[in-house]
Amino acid sequence: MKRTLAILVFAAICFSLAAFSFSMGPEAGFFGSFKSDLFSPKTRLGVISALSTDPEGDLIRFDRKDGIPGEYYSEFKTFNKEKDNYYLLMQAGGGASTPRFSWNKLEIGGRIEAYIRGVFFLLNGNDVLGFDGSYFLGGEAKILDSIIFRFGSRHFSGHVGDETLASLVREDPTMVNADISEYVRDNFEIALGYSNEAFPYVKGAISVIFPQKNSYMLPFVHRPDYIVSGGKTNQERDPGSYAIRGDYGLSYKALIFNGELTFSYQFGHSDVFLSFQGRLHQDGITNHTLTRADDTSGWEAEFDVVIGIERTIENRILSVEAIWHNGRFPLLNYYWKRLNSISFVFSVS
Amino acid sequence: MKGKHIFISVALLLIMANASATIEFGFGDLSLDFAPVKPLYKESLAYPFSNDIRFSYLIAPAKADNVTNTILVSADDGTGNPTYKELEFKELNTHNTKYWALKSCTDIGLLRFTWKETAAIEIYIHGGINSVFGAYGGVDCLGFDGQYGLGLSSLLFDSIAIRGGFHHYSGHWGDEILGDFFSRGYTEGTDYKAITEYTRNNSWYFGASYTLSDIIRFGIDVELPEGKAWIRPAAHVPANTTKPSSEESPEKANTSDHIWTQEGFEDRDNRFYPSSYKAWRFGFSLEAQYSIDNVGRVYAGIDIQLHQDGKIDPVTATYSEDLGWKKEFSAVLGFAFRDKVTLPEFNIEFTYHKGRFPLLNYWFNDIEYFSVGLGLTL
Repeated sequence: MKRTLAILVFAAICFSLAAFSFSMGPEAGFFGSFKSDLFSPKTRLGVISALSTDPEGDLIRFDRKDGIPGEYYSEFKTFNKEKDNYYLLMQAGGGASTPRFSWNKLEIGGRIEAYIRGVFFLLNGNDVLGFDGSYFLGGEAKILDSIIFRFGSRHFSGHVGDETLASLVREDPTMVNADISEYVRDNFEIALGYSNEAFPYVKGAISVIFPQKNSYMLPFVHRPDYIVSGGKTNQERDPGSYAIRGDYGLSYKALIFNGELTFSYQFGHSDVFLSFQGRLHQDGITNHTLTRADDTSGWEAEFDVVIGIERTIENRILSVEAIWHNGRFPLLNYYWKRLNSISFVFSVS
Repeated sequence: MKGKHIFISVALLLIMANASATIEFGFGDLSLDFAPVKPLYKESLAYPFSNDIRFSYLIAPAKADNVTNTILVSADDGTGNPTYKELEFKELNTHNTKYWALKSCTDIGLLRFTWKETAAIEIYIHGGINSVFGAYGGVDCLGFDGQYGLGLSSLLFDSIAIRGGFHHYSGHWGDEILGDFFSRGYTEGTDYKAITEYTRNNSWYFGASYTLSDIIRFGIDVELPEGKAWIRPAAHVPANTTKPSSEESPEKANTSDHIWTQEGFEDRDNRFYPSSYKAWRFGFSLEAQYSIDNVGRVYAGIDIQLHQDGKIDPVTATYSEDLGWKKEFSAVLGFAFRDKVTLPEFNIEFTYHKGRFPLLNYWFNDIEYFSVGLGLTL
């Protein structure tokens, strides 16, 4: 008892001398204010205007039909170019950093964040094309008030909208026996960046995301050799697809690299900002097909350019953003669809 | 329609947030706060659809009643009249009674006017998405709910809070379970007429609460579908509800006519329902909290929900005088941590719920569960 008390007293003295502090209350995340990160847990509402899509049309992709693996596309409704190129983006998200330990110029804490995103047709009815769910569980640190780091588990799960599915079955009943292509992954994420409140004009970060070994991972065509899902190897889990595709080799790990650089300038009581973000998907080399002959040498690239104005009110960052996006459609299950778009988004983070 | 409501709200928010050089200022006894953090009116903590952020693990006793493995469809009862019946998307397995629930919603106040610290009024906007996944097998998504609302809240003498506005609910089925459903080979037209949904687009909302010494709070809230509203399923539509927009003749403007047609019955309507049926929802809550300096608070609460649509018999798909209102009971015990009043609370919560499954489209499916969850509350 005496020994325990002595240790506690000693620890308390050390902590007070070392300016150690601890908090269970939620704090704003070190990475919380990045502008164009698709995976940031912001609450968003916006309109997307597609300049072009590839492939064009109101399509759903399937990875297997009547038991035969392959790439199948089916139109879930007749494409109306005048109306179907406009979408409504709704995302509800939030995050908290807790607990938080501080010691001199080092802050370390836990981080949990999640969002659910839906994309709807804007003009041709309000049918939902799909929903995405994503969460991050991990830790983060800030060193010398400026170097930020985080590591944790990142989950992605894509879902096709119910109205879209019902339309599809009505349009093409033969697809009842087909498997919709889904994008699901449990990943690890590591990020490193610079953000200093004393010099708010520039901030940036890079990150890498890679699938966990035991991840339930879809589509098959993106799955690296090392994945053992539910105790089954790729060959055991999807023998039909494996027979066509085979192994990728050790160099393929379905990596995703992100990078973002943001310039801000105070304008009245708001900040205007210009942000650039790029992403590289290693799974792009598969061209999303089981056919090896379709493979490309380069990774699939995406970029966003964001210009916006934001205002911080009581720790909430309200912003209006204009986004030029050239990359994947902003729903995980539509990874096979390229989108070149202009969006206007209101967000709260 | 959904988009219009939201964009009006957002436009208002932006104007308020950026039009002025100051965030808060006063005119003598009157002060104005553009974006207060904590809303004046607090929703029931134990209500499963309250607008907060929760990530929870639900555990229900392993019995058939707690398994969610069916979709509700409209069908012909064999005499040409409608019925609602459940069709399986998955085999009944009493192992499958655990779920993940993810709710991402927010409830914020805007443009708050306060007079002498005794009366305050503000615009509120809230909403978000609620989803539940099976915590078994492939973690299938059982469904998504969307909800939002807008209106005015007021707080008097720091104890009486009232809120009035409109509220929208919309249920969606999960894609994986729909895929499983379709792959089972049910034939549309023969096995069923249509897959049903649960929608309230929109309802009037009114809530009031009284807080005693910042420790005990009693609340009541009421929802009444608007006279012009989209309501699903068809059997839940009151007799005289009309479509929000219609270019057709008045006699074709009845909402139940329209929704019944969508559900596969051209000649059915609900005009014969008694005028007393309006699809009301009543909620009652009682909460207690104990604040802990520099840490946060511990709280407990109970919530009772009464749904007038419980008087609709799913078997006959019609109003039944013999049925009572549907009752639900929920209880919560939670610990909230907060360092700064300008940040949300971080919650660790334990809940109990007996009533409807916590996804709108599963209104027909009762469940009893315990849950443990993490969350954020303004």
